[in-house]
Amino acid sequence: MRFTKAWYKDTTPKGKIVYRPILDVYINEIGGWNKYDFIVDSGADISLMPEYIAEEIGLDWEKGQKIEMRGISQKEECFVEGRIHEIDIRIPDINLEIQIPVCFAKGNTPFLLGREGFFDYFRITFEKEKLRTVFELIEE
Amino acid sequence: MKKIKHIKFTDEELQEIKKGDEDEKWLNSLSPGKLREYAGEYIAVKGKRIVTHSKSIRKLHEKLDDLNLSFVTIRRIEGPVLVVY
Repeated sequence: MRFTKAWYKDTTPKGKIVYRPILDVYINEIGGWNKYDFIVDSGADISLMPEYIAEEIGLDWEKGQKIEMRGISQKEECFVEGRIHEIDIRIPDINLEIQIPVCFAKGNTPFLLGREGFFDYFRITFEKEKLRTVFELIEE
Repeated sequence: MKKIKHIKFTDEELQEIKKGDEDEKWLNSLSPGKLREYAGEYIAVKGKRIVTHSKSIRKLHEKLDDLNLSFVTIRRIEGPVLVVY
Protein backbone atom coordinates (compact mmCIF):
# COMPACT_ATOMS: atom_id res chain seq x y z
CA MET A 1 0.00 0.00 0.00
CA ARG A 2 1.44 3.33 -1.00
CA PHE A 3 0.37 6.89 -1.47
CA THR A 4 1.98 10.21 -2.26
CA LYS A 5 1.67 13.69 -0.85
CA ALA A 6 2.63 16.92 -2.57
CA TRP A 7 4.87 19.35 -0.72
CA TYR A 8 3.49 22.74 0.15
CA LYS A 9 5.01 26.01 -0.89
CA ASP A 10 6.39 28.72 1.39
CA THR A 11 8.81 31.61 1.03
CA THR A 12 11.80 32.99 2.92
CA PRO A 13 12.15 36.71 3.84
CA LYS A 14 14.15 37.25 0.65
CA GLY A 15 11.35 35.75 -1.40
CA LYS A 16 13.02 32.43 -2.10
CA ILE A 17 10.48 29.65 -2.51
CA VAL A 18 10.83 26.61 -0.27
CA TYR A 19 8.73 23.45 -0.32
CA ARG A 20 8.02 21.39 2.78
CA PRO A 21 6.86 17.76 3.00
CA ILE A 22 3.63 17.45 4.96
CA LEU A 23 1.16 14.74 5.83
CA ASP A 24 -2.34 15.42 7.10
CA VAL A 25 -3.55 13.02 9.76
CA TYR A 26 -6.69 12.80 11.87
CA ILE A 27 -6.62 12.78 15.65
CA ASN A 28 -9.58 11.96 17.87
CA GLU A 29 -10.00 14.71 20.43
CA ILE A 30 -12.61 15.23 23.13
CA GLY A 31 -14.48 17.65 20.86
CA GLY A 32 -14.30 15.33 17.84
CA TRP A 33 -11.89 14.51 15.01
CA ASN A 34 -9.55 17.16 13.71
CA LYS A 35 -6.95 17.04 10.97
CA TYR A 36 -3.41 18.22 11.59
CA ASP A 37 -0.82 19.10 8.96
CA PHE A 38 2.46 17.55 10.12
CA ILE A 39 5.87 18.22 8.63
CA VAL A 40 7.46 14.85 7.86
CA ASP A 41 10.87 15.26 9.51
CA SER A 42 13.42 12.49 9.07
CA GLY A 43 15.82 14.54 11.22
CA ALA A 44 13.55 14.51 14.26
CA ASP A 45 14.09 11.65 16.71
CA ILE A 46 10.41 11.55 17.62
CA SER A 47 7.09 13.10 16.61
CA LEU A 48 6.14 16.37 18.25
CA MET A 49 3.01 18.25 19.20
CA PRO A 50 2.23 21.06 21.66
CA GLU A 51 1.55 20.04 25.26
CA TYR A 52 -2.02 21.30 25.09
CA ILE A 53 -3.02 18.72 22.48
CA ALA A 54 -2.45 15.97 25.07
CA GLU A 55 -5.22 17.59 27.11
CA GLU A 56 -7.46 17.76 24.04
CA ILE A 57 -6.97 14.03 23.47
CA GLY A 58 -7.83 13.32 27.10
CA LEU A 59 -4.34 12.38 28.25
CA ASP A 60 -2.76 13.29 31.57
CA TRP A 61 0.36 15.06 30.26
CA GLU A 62 2.30 14.51 33.51
CA LYS A 63 1.90 10.73 33.31
CA GLY A 64 3.92 10.48 30.12
CA GLN A 65 7.61 9.66 29.94
CA LYS A 66 9.55 12.77 30.91
CA ILE A 67 11.98 14.07 28.32
CA GLU A 68 14.06 17.15 27.62
CA MET A 69 14.64 18.19 24.04
CA ARG A 70 16.75 20.63 22.19
CA GLY A 71 16.94 21.86 18.64
CA ILE A 72 19.80 23.71 17.03
CA SER A 73 20.52 25.93 20.05
CA GLN A 74 22.83 24.42 22.66
CA LYS A 75 21.81 26.94 25.31
CA GLU A 76 20.34 25.38 28.42
CA GLU A 77 17.49 27.89 28.47
CA CYS A 78 16.48 26.62 25.05
CA PHE A 79 15.84 23.11 26.32
CA VAL A 80 12.16 22.20 26.14
CA GLU A 81 10.40 19.85 28.51
CA GLY A 82 8.02 17.26 27.13
CA ARG A 83 6.16 14.04 27.87
CA ILE A 84 5.93 11.06 25.57
CA HIS A 85 2.58 9.34 25.11
CA GLU A 86 1.44 6.69 22.64
CA ILE A 87 -1.44 7.98 20.53
CA ASP A 88 -3.56 6.72 17.65
CA ILE A 89 -3.53 8.65 14.41
CA ARG A 90 -5.64 8.01 11.30
CA ILE A 91 -4.34 8.25 7.77
CA PRO A 92 -7.38 8.35 5.47
CA ASP A 93 -5.35 7.98 2.27
CA ILE A 94 -4.98 4.26 3.01
CA ASN A 95 -7.75 3.77 5.60
CA LEU A 96 -5.29 3.13 8.37
CA GLU A 97 -4.99 3.77 12.08
CA ILE A 98 -1.57 3.46 13.66
CA GLN A 99 -0.20 4.01 17.12
CA ILE A 100 2.90 6.18 17.44
CA PRO A 101 4.83 7.78 20.28
CA VAL A 102 4.46 11.56 20.35
CA CYS A 103 6.33 14.01 22.52
CA PHE A 104 3.97 16.68 23.78
CA ALA A 105 6.26 19.62 24.43
CA LYS A 106 5.81 22.78 26.44
CA GLY A 107 4.92 25.81 24.37
CA ASN A 108 3.47 26.34 20.95
CA THR A 109 5.54 23.85 19.01
CA PRO A 110 5.27 22.71 15.39
CA PHE A 111 3.60 19.45 14.37
CA LEU A 112 6.34 17.01 13.36
CA LEU A 113 6.32 13.35 12.35
CA GLY A 114 9.71 12.02 13.45
CA ARG A 115 11.52 8.73 13.02
CA GLU A 116 10.66 6.84 16.20
CA GLY A 117 7.43 4.99 15.56
CA PHE A 118 6.16 6.71 12.42
CA PHE A 119 9.12 5.73 10.24
CA ASP A 120 8.74 2.11 11.42
CA TYR A 121 5.40 1.91 9.63
CA PHE A 122 6.40 3.45 6.33
CA ARG A 123 9.22 3.37 3.83
CA ILE A 124 9.40 7.08 3.10
CA THR A 125 10.96 8.57 0.01
CA PHE A 126 11.38 12.31 -0.37
CA GLU A 127 11.25 13.04 -4.10
CA LYS A 128 12.52 16.61 -4.29
CA GLU A 129 12.51 16.71 -8.08
CA LYS A 130 8.80 15.87 -8.01
CA LEU A 131 8.09 17.90 -4.85
CA ARG A 132 6.32 15.01 -3.23
CA THR A 133 6.74 12.33 -0.58
CA VAL A 134 6.03 8.66 -1.21
CA PHE A 135 4.76 6.62 1.74
CA GLU A 136 4.89 2.84 1.41
CA LEU A 137 3.37 0.83 4.24
CA ILE A 138 5.73 -1.75 5.72
CA GLU A 139 3.49 -4.71 6.50
CA GLU A 140 4.94 -7.52 8.59
CA MET B 1 5.74 -2.54 18.88
CA LYS B 2 3.69 -1.59 15.84
CA LYS B 3 -0.08 -1.33 16.16
CA ILE B 4 -1.88 -1.15 12.83
CA LYS B 5 -5.62 -1.15 12.33
CA HIS B 6 -7.24 -1.16 8.91
CA ILE B 7 -10.39 0.89 9.27
CA LYS B 8 -13.60 1.47 7.40
CA PHE B 9 -14.80 5.02 7.68
CA THR B 10 -18.51 5.71 8.02
CA ASP B 11 -20.28 7.54 5.18
CA GLU B 12 -20.42 10.63 7.39
CA GLU B 13 -16.69 10.45 8.11
CA LEU B 14 -15.92 9.93 4.41
CA GLN B 15 -17.88 13.06 3.56
CA GLU B 16 -15.95 15.07 6.14
CA ILE B 17 -12.64 13.60 4.90
CA LYS B 18 -13.51 14.59 1.34
CA LYS B 19 -14.28 18.14 2.49
CA GLY B 20 -11.03 18.12 4.47
CA ASP B 21 -9.11 17.12 1.32
CA GLU B 22 -10.70 20.03 -0.54
CA ASP B 23 -9.74 22.38 2.30
CA GLU B 24 -6.18 21.03 2.13
CA LYS B 25 -6.01 21.69 -1.62
CA TRP B 26 -7.44 25.17 -1.12
CA LEU B 27 -4.90 25.92 1.61
CA ASN B 28 -2.03 24.68 -0.54
CA SER B 29 -3.23 26.79 -3.46
CA LEU B 30 -2.93 30.04 -1.50
CA SER B 31 0.14 32.11 -2.20
CA PRO B 32 2.66 32.16 0.68
CA GLY B 33 2.18 35.93 0.84
CA LYS B 34 -1.51 35.44 1.56
CA LEU B 35 -0.70 33.37 4.64
CA ARG B 36 2.10 35.66 5.79
CA GLU B 37 -0.26 37.62 8.07
CA TYR B 38 -0.67 34.41 10.12
CA ALA B 39 3.08 33.80 10.48
CA GLY B 40 3.87 32.22 13.82
CA GLU B 41 0.23 31.28 14.36
CA TYR B 42 -1.94 28.22 14.14
CA ILE B 43 -4.83 28.43 11.70
CA ALA B 44 -8.00 26.34 11.43
CA VAL B 45 -9.58 25.82 8.02
CA LYS B 46 -13.08 24.60 7.20
CA GLY B 47 -15.22 25.15 4.13
CA LYS B 48 -12.30 26.67 2.20
CA ARG B 49 -11.84 29.53 4.63
CA ILE B 50 -9.77 30.24 7.71
CA VAL B 51 -12.34 30.03 10.48
CA THR B 52 -10.01 31.05 13.30
CA HIS B 53 -6.35 31.59 14.13
CA SER B 54 -4.19 32.15 17.18
CA LYS B 55 -0.58 32.15 18.35
CA SER B 56 -1.74 29.79 21.11
CA ILE B 57 -2.95 26.30 20.25
CA ARG B 58 -5.06 26.35 23.43
CA LYS B 59 -6.81 29.55 22.36
CA LEU B 60 -7.34 28.13 18.87
CA HIS B 61 -9.14 25.14 20.36
CA GLU B 62 -11.19 27.37 22.66
CA LYS B 63 -12.33 29.32 19.61
CA LEU B 64 -13.16 26.08 17.80
CA ASP B 65 -15.20 24.97 20.82
CA ASP B 66 -17.08 28.27 20.74
CA LEU B 67 -17.81 27.72 17.06
CA ASN B 68 -18.74 24.09 17.78
CA LEU B 69 -16.54 22.87 14.92
CA SER B 70 -14.75 19.57 14.35
CA PHE B 71 -13.15 17.98 11.30
CA VAL B 72 -11.16 21.16 10.77
CA THR B 73 -7.71 21.33 9.24
CA ILE B 74 -5.14 22.75 11.64
CA ARG B 75 -1.78 24.00 10.43
CA ARG B 76 1.02 26.02 11.98
CA ILE B 77 2.13 28.83 9.69
CA GLU B 78 5.86 29.30 9.96
CA GLY B 79 7.45 32.72 10.09
CA PRO B 80 9.34 33.87 7.01
CA VAL B 81 12.46 31.96 7.90
CA LEU B 82 14.26 28.85 6.82
CA VAL B 83 13.06 26.08 9.13
CA VAL B 84 15.46 23.55 10.62
CA TYR B 85 13.73 21.48 13.24
